[in-house]
Amino acid sequence: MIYPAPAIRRAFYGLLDNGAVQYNSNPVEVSEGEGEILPYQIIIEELQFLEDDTKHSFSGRVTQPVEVVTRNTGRFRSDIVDEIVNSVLALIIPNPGVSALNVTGFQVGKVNINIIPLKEESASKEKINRRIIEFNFFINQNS
Amino acid sequence: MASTSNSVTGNVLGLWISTNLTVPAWKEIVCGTDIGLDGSKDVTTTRTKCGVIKSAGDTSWTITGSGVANHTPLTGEVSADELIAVMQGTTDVLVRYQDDTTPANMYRGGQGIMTAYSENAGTDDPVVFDFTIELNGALTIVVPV
Repeated sequence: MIYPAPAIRRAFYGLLDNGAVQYNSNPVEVSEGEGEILPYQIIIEELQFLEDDTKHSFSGRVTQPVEVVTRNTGRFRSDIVDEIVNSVLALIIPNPGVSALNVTGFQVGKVNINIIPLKEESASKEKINRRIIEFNFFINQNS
Repeated sequence: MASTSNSVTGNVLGLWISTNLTVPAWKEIVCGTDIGLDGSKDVTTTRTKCGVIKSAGDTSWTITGSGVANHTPLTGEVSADELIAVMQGTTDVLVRYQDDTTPANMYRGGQGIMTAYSENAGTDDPVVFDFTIELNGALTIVVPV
């Protein structure tokens, strides 16, 4: 069995990074871990993997959280975070039942999403809005 | 007391069938998940004035298997398509499951006919299949020589 996290992360970077997601014509940067102090960003968080093998194939279920974080002054702006969320969803799941995820070395099943309620925080004079999208899917390692 | 290290775990068992009854050409079911064995007897209960008399018929055995469909099984393997061909046929097959490393540790086999086959294709899941083979004779528990 190959730990699928690196290949999955690369697949998400491939679809979301390099200006693929934009807000107000500005590219939304993609990072991992704590992220950066930016007006808007996408953070690919640590995934959960539950192995579910057959006797002849390596496979399992993946939950890959992707967090969209926006910072703005003034009032909380859920509209900004959700516009970016929609851009992310359109890139990962462009059509019903079909994902654009190309995970090298693995077959990817139908990708389902779970959108976590918005978290709002205040830091100094900034409002921070966080929305996590959990992508859930089955993967099967190519033999 | 017997050693627990001598127990047999399901992951070491392979399920195999052969459509050639004369010279077995065993092929393994891929990608296998579960294997089952069920034995039963028809019991007739007669209430007499001397008491209840129970009589049992011959033992009937079924071997069941489950797996995830594989569209390109390797040589020496079978999956959903080949099992459907067996299901649509009317001839017997040989079936066995065994500890693939040391068959003597566990061996179950016999000759029978496939009487049930089903597939399930859930939206989020790989296509899975289940089948049942009813043996038409005794169950063999010793590796044939």
